[in-house]
Amino acid sequence: MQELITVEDVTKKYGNKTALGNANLKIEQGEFVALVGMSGSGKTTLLRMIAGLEQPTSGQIRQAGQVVDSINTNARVMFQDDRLLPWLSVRENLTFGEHSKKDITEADSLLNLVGLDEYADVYPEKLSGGQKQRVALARALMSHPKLLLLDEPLGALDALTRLNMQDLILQICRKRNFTTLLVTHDINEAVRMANRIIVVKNSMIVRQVENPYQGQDSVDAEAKQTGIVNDILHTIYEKD
Amino acid sequence: MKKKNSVRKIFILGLVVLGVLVAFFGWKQTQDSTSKSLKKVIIGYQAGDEFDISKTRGEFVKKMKKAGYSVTFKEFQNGAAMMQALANGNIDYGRMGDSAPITSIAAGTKVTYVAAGGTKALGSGVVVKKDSGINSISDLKGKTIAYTKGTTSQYMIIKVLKKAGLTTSDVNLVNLDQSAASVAYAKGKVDAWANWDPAIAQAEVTENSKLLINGNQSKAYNRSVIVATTSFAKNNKSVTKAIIKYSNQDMQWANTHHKKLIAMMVKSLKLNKKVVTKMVNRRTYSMHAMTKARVAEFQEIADVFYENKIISKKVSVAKYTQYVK
Amino acid sequence: MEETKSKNKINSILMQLLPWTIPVALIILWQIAVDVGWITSSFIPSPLSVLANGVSLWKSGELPKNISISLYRALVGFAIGGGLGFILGFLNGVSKVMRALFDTTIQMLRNIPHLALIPVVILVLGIGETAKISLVAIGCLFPMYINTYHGITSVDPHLIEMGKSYGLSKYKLFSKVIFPGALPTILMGVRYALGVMWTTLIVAETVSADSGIGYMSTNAQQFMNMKTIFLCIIIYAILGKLSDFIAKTLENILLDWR
Repeated sequence: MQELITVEDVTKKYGNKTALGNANLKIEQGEFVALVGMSGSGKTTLLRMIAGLEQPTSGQIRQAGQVVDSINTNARVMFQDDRLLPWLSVRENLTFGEHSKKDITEADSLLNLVGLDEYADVYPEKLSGGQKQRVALARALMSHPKLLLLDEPLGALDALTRLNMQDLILQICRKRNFTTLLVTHDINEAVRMANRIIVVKNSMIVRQVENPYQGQDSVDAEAKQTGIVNDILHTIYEKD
Repeated sequence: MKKKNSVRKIFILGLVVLGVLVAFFGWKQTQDSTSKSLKKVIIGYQAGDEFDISKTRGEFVKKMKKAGYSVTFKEFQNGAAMMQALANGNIDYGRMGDSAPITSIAAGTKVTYVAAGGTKALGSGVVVKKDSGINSISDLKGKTIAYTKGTTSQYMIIKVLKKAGLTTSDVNLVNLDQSAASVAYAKGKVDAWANWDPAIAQAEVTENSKLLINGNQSKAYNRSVIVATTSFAKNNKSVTKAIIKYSNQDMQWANTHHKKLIAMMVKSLKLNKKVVTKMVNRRTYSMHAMTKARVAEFQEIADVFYENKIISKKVSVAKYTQYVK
Repeated sequence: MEETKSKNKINSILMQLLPWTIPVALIILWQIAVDVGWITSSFIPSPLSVLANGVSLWKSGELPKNISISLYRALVGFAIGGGLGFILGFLNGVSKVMRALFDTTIQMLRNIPHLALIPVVILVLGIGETAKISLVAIGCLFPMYINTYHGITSVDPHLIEMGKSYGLSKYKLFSKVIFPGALPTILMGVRYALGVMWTTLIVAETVSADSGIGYMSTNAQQFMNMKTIFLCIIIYAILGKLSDFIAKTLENILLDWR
């Protein structure tokens, strides 16, 4: 497997406060990695640095050998809030107003993929929260990015919609072979979707857990997944 | 929804295009059609004055054009605004009352008297309501009188009070501009009003008023003058000569064609015909170069203003006068 | 069903007419008051005589001429002032250096009443069309500046971050994210500037004007020609309402996503 992301001795400080300390992480092509931890543990900071939205105080992040030192346009972020542009139609939100045939065809096929083809011409205002996040997902997939960064994209959704979205994302990522990094505080979600789970605690990467049961929903696999969840929970709540 | 929007779009577009077209039409009208080879002369005037007659009659501009000058008239609401424009060189000549230049000269503005016209003596003075119980100027004692600061009405007040043996402290003076004074007088907020035609004629006709004392009696004649910026006057004697000559021709026409003049002024001033008739009939129009007698007349205004501390500097009118002969 | 539908229709028509009931009632009351003699008609002419005055001024060509000249001054002044205000607001909105350079100065100038500027404008620009148009432009500049600046600086920073992260070019970021995000506030500025445009024009047209609605009004004031004064007031009201209507409809069209 080829290595796509390398995080090397990365520290991020805001003033005196350390948001992330001495992090090391490798993500290989085609992997689905989840970052879990309590809020404020530093997991979102790491994702934002990989996206190039923030710069490390020390250390280095590389994508396919190239140092990420400004906005990383080879990665696409799906944010917690949908961040759709309310003045553009759903389709235009994907193309950013481009009218080239190629863009429109791709946008329409992605909208079809997330099951929203009939909403292509309406404004986001008319959509439900789950539908909006599906548009945001389709937007992130435009022109097939090398890396997908999902920053708690399902955090604001109700439980049922959430489960549907998890399936949809996982299905798309596997089918189209995306490399994905998911930040979430929901450990069940992480264990359901990721093949590897990274635990962040008190601004440090404390543990990495391989998950061979990714995406499986047999009774047996679910029991195994629950075991991993409990194991991770134990790590998170363990006294230092 | 979409359809409604596009109908709206077309409607708004039509409205905006219409607006722009009308504005373009307006722009066309602000463009002067006068040719460029002529020397440009800009004259400031006030509604109903000598130049307004010339402007409306049209002969003046034609004659000036023949003499090689392209005349542009600019209307002003009062003498003060006109003095400001003169001081900045935005206009070359201005027609105003005899007192306004004095205050400006005292304030350091470099202007020169180049011509003097007829007076409004019979149509200037202090008006009171017929039923006010004020029958002579000595009855003004303790009354409220409206005037406008810096204009001939201020001079008029001083002269009238002096004639009655009163001073400014014996009466209650209120400084109001023309339109405010007009309302205040009509509503009875002030007892008397120092002013001139057409306001006086209008008060007499529509407000049951009488002229308590006119300009000939008070010796505040309220004469029309033409002033120019000092530097312009020095270098353009021939322009001044032409203006005086052609203006005076219009004034002679005005004196002999009252009927036409009244009709003309009713239209341009939008005043009642009775008012205009009264005003025109008690007025003699003329326009002449400055003379020693005129200088003496204006010098007295300057002296009175100085004595009454209206201006803080002595002004020698002769120094600011040009005799074109 | 049918009945309630038609009832609703009548209701909506009534609701649309409702804003006009007070002006219309006032005008009728005014006409009656003059006719019956409650108020003296030399100071307050009746609406009908004002209208008649308007018709005769229209026939003489004076009213069309003055309206068109006023409209010309207003529109050109608005275009220059509004345009400049927009450009300055935009530059200061996106560039910190420009903001540091200009903002304090503009905020200082903003609080000067337009009337106080007349002598300065006459001194610098004279008394021609330039001076009048400049006054209108100055009046329109500030509301446009403030609203553009405020609109641009208050665009949701999350959306800007998203745009940057999605690799949008500077131009695209502006045209697809910042400008549409600022547009509601900018259009509010347009509406406000249109209002200021008319009020400044009245003042501007008292500066040695020999044409325009403002001139007509001040000239009439000098001779207490109340019919014309009222006519001018009504024309201003109509022009103001009309431009507000255009701005409002423009908002509805441009901001149909709301």
